[in-house]
Amino acid sequence: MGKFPLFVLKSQRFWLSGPATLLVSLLIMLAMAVWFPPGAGKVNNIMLPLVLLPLIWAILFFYTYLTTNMRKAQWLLVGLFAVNSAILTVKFLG
Amino acid sequence: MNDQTPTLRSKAKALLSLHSWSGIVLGMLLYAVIFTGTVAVVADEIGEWSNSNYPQHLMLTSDIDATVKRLSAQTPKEYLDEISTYENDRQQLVYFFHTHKQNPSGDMDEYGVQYALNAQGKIVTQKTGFGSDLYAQDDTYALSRFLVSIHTELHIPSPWGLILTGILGMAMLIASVSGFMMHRHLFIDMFSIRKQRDGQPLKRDSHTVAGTWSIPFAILLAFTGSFFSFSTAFGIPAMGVVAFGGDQEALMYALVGEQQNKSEAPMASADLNLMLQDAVQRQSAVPSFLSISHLGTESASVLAFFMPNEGKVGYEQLVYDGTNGDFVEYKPIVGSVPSLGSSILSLIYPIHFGTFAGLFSKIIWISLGVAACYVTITGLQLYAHRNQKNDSSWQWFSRMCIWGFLGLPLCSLASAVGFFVSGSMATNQSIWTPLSFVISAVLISMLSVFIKNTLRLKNLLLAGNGLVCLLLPVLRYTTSGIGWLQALHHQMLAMMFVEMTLLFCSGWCFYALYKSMQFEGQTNNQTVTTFATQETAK
Repeated sequence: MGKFPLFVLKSQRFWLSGPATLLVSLLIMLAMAVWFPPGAGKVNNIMLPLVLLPLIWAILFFYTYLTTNMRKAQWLLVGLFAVNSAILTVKFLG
Repeated sequence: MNDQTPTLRSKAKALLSLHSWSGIVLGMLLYAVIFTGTVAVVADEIGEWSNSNYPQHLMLTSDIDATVKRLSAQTPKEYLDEISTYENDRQQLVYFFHTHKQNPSGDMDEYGVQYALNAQGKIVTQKTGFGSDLYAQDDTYALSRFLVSIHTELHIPSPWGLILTGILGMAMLIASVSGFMMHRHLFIDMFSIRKQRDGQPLKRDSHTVAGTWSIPFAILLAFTGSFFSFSTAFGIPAMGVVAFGGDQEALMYALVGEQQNKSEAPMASADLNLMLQDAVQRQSAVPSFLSISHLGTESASVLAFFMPNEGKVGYEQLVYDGTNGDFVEYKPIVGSVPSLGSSILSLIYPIHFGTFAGLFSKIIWISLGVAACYVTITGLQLYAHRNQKNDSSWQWFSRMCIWGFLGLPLCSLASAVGFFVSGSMATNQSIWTPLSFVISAVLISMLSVFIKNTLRLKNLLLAGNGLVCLLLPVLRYTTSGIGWLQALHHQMLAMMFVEMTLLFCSGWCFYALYKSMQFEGQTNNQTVTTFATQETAK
């Protein structure tokens, strides 16, 4: 167990696995309301993203925390951020 | 989390670090949520026990149709949009005539007149207000509501309490998933208590064994708990902004599965009693509540809600056409037609609350909850011991562990004492239940600061827990006059279950106290023997 907590704030991995992962997960959830098929009940695009949020977050968190290739993890999060932001921008401004 | 040398870092070591820190940083709060969650599994039973109630199935024995007509005539017309009916834990039928409007917090809420009628159909109480306020002030559920509220929001104002419990759910997810990934020999670890071990090594083995057994349960509960917290706190409104352009009303109608604009043309309604009888026949059970909408109009409908029935996992909602009394459909939990979202949601509820097989599944959920509490406790104790060994200034951490682990159950028991005492004095139980918790928390905190010997503090709190567990059945009996023979006669299963659990907990506390005092005695003897040997040698 490493020493906690102050030097952790200087760690790039902390910011990547913490706030960045949370932000990207929330964006994926919101964007899913736009592209996910609503189904006959017209609720799938609301309920499934909500249910999947903890799962999406956990996958991204463990990936960014355990990866040895930080650059790849950064680009993955940047890519997900850009794609999902674009979907939401088109929904509100398009 | 050092990113300078990631390639050198062993993943197992990184997972161990993650597992430890996620438990240590939020461990005490996590324990609070897990402990109160374990209690909340039997919230309905606690509600029945605290009121010495046995369900009389008043919905079957009362003339609901005539009562609704009678009450409708004396209720302002604007509150006739919807009528909710259920039997409360004080053998009364509650009728809430309401409409929907925004409450002072800006949330859509029910507003109207609530009547509570006794078995003879006489109005006992009549209140007007928002549904959320009426429920928050209802003394019937003061104890169970308070205990559930600690679990869901830690009594922190909305939405921050929900966000915090959501974060705690994620911490639990991290701790359990990293715990799972760390195990190289999962099946061996399930049975790896070494007999020759004692003290801290035994505790470490016990932590691993209890943790391994409860991993699937912890992952499921953390996942579903995060979903409940986040979706209630901000998820559903946020999705409403994206999917419905911020129209919260449209979102609610999509989720509830109703048309937004219904015809209000007058039309005679069918007999409510016949619809109720049909629903009871179809489900072989009494509904938890009835929701009667737009009565006396051509869009009248009746919904009967059932808790999971024998052999079924999810809740059931039966819808009837209120104008002719015909059965219309089994309505999904969300939306108007069956969907994947609705199916998943109808599974998530019973998984989180353990309601899928009645009291049997609840007992399993409680046992696994106790195992999860034990894992949190031993995890923090191991951390405290490791640091205390090298640095005696870490004793505060052990003290905090005792304060939290034994103090929280004692405060929860004290809130039940407050409920019964205030009830017998005819004062406000909704105020005195949480106040008793706060008073006992202050007292326990003071004791934790002033008693220097941590073993003595532990013994005192154990004795307190054991005594209050014994006291509560006596208090309940003196305030209600309903004894065990009567409870057995009326098959008051919930009440007997809670009292047996209290007696079991009391026995466990006194046994733990006995073992702790035995340990204290042995330690003192060893100290005296060592001192005497040293003196003889001199």
